[in-house]
Amino acid sequence: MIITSLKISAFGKFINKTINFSDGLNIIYGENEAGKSTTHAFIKAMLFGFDKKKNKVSTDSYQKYYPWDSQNKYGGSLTFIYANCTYEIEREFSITEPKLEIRNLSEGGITVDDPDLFLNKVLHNISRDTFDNTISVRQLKSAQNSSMIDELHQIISNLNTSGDMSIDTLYALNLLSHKKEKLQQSKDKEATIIYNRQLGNIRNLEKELSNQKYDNKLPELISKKNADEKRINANTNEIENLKKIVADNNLILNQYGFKERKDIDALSNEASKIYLDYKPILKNRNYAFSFICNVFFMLIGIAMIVFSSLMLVATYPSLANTLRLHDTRYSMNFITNFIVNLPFHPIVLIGILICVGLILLIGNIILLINNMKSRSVSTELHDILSDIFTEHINTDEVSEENMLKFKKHIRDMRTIAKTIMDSEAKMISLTDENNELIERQSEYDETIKLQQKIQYDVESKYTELNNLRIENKKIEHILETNDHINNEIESISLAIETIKSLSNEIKVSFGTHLNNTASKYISILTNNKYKSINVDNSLSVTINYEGRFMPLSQASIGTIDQIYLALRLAIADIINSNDNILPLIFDDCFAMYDNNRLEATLRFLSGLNSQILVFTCHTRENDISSNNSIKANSFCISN
Amino acid sequence: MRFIHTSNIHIGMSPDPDKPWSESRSDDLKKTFEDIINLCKNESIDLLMISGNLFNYQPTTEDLTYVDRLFKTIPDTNVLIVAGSSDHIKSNSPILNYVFSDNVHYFLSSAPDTYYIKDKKICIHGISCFSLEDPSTVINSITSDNDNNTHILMFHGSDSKHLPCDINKLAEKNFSYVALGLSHNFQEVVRNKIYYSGSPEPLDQNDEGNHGVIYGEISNKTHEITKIEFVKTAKLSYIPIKIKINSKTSESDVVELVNREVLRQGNNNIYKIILEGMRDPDIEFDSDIFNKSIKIASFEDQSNPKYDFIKLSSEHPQDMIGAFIRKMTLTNNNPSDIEKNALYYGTQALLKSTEKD
Repeated sequence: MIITSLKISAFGKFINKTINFSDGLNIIYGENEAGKSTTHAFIKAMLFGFDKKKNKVSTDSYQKYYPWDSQNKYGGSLTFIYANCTYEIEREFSITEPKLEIRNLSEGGITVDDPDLFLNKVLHNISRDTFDNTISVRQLKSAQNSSMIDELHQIISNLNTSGDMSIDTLYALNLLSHKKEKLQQSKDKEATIIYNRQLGNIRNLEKELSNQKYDNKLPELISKKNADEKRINANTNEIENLKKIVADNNLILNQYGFKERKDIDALSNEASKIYLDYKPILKNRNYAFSFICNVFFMLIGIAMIVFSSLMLVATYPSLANTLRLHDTRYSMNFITNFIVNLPFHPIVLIGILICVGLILLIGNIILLINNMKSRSVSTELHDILSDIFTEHINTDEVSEENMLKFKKHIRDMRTIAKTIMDSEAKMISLTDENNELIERQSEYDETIKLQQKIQYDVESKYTELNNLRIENKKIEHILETNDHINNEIESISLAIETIKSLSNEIKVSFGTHLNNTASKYISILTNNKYKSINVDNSLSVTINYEGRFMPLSQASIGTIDQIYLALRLAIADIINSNDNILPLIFDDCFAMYDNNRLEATLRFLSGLNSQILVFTCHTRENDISSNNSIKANSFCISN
Repeated sequence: MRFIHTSNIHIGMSPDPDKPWSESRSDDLKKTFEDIINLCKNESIDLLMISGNLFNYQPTTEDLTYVDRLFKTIPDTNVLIVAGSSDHIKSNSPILNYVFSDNVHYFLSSAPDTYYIKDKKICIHGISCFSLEDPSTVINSITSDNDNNTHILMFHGSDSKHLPCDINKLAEKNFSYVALGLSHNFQEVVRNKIYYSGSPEPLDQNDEGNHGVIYGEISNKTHEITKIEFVKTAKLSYIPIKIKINSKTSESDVVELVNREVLRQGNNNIYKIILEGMRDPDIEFDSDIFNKSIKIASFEDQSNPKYDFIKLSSEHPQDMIGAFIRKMTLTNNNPSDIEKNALYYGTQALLKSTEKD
């Protein structure tokens, strides 16, 4: 690339200004404020534009060169030769609508389709910063030796680690580390500790709560207790019923005069016995007939005794005398006749008759007495039975039928008595059961009370658990933020690692190249005074001076400047390709050089393949070049 | 028959626990629940179904007394409740011995159970959760008799971890309505048949959109849904504000856009701010820039610094910047967020180092 001319429409102090350059070495001189820097800035602006958004430097430059006094368009054109064609870059700088057009003048001025892309290609894709630090060579900023060494050291370091003087890898790494540090500090480190501690507490509580001893047994207990309560109530009701039954039945028994069951048995036995006694009397109760019979047989007995007595007298008359029974003789005739006619001794008959007569008499007397007695007993029995019957079966008639009725009544009474007895037994068993149940109720009450206490404990544990969970939920959000920060930190760490590893790679490949190329240039620039420079891994720079390595700190300011130039040229070598060599711009770079060194430098530069633009405020460069027949296009620049 | 179906009320929860409005949101959950009870009262609702997660955790007697006191005020409404995943029943749950008002039935069985409301001829089939997750497919085996009653099914499911079931088969069954819990958002699973009521209040920033309960009417004759509608109950919404930014967008632009949106949607709502697009690499947006009176649940800057990596890479063919970009982009076609951010951070730092003067 060879810049042939600049046509400035309006840029800084220049209005409608044209500047032409030639191939090879151009020496542009002018006094301070003559516009050298403006020209330099215009070239940069034409090549890179003002990327207003991109960086502050561009924006400041935009303002700095804005033609406030002119109506002309802010901008202009730059003509250059590239790949055997002449191109014209035309730019109009505007905040709202910056204009860029590139025309191929060799082909009738046709515009290039994508001017940005084309320019990138022409400029080997270098950035404005790279341009500033390689193609456009300025003086080292520092004025003191030690500071210059530091600055050079930094540049070498940048080159060595990033491949670009402007990229300060260490600075970038520091930025990243600082950011990482800040993020680390913004993390709530306590949160994780608290969270884990509380999570431990939560797990412990959960584990404890899962213990079977905390199971809620209240529903089962209450349902059992309720069932028992129901049973108690049912039993109580039944006992009441039974009591009523007992009372009612007792009333019935009492009505019949029974106080106890044995009363029924006693009455029953008594009645049966009486009835048993009374029953035969009942069957023979014709006392008048018996009486007549008795009297009749008594009379017969008496008759028989009388007759036998007569017979005895008749048989034994002496007896009659003894007995002074004379008057009976007559009547004895009949008896005597009867005796006489007897085939057997009359005493037999007499004996028989007396015996029978006595039996009849005595027997019937007994019977009569008995009868009399029996009659009075019968009345008594009847009265008793009649009373019993009247009381129990509402009749006073003593009869077989009523006796049956009475027996039925007794059976009824016995049933009632049995009912009472059964009821009473049941009442006792129910009462016993209830007592047992009531006792169990209080046991249940105790267990329920205990269980309620456990439940209360469970509930307070649950409340504690819930609170812990809420607290941990709060911390979870902090942890999420921490996670997010961790990711950011990881990203930064990855960036740091990558830059570090790349830096090492660049060091290896670039370091070798830098040492070789820069050494070549320093040797030419210093007329072989310094054979080579060496940058080692620790970035310390040494210069090979007369066969020994001299530390940079021992070099003069001028030498340091030369080393700097050599390094720049070494970098430019890397950027350039064989078929497109970019121009090199030197802006007041040689102020520190003595004449010999300047001559050597200019000679060296004029021998390079690049177009060289040397801006200077001295005429020294022009004088030396013309005096030493160094081919150069020199011209003066002025407003 | 008129019913209200709700779920996931999460009484006891403190939404956005790290935010200053958390406590008032906790109160909102209770207030909205009270509103639902009033709705039952005012609309003479026959049936209130709560399909799980009435509570955010294991309810204590105090919690149960609180809800029961409210249920007592609607004695004409039958309240049916199943336990969900958050308030699942444990062997030591206080609910096991809690005695609710007569109009309340809490399903306490781990097997499908039915509750019959004789006067209304409604048979409700329900199953409560007994663990945080229950992958059993018991729902598939639930059937209802083809009788003269209205059959309704309620449970807390039905994703793969919570009582999963075949929805198509469920839709074919003889249920007039299936009241589902679990999802925080309203969802019509099968029209006029199977619904997620969603939570009546949004519970976290993922619960965007409207929140309320389902009001429905079922014909006593046909046993079919005759009316169903969503009734909004939420006191506020979580509203995402997505801002597409570009390299010209400044902090104040973002603040203004957010302020405008908040003014339009109301200051009461809670916002999620998401920045998208490509930002000026020199700007880092921070959640601190917004007005403190705006409730911001989350602020996510998903924007990327506006770097043209292809251009940067070609501008720096030889140096660290180009090498770094190529290393970070060429080695991985599908970079993770960490790798993407590493690219941004590294590029930013390297570019900054060139401007340090």
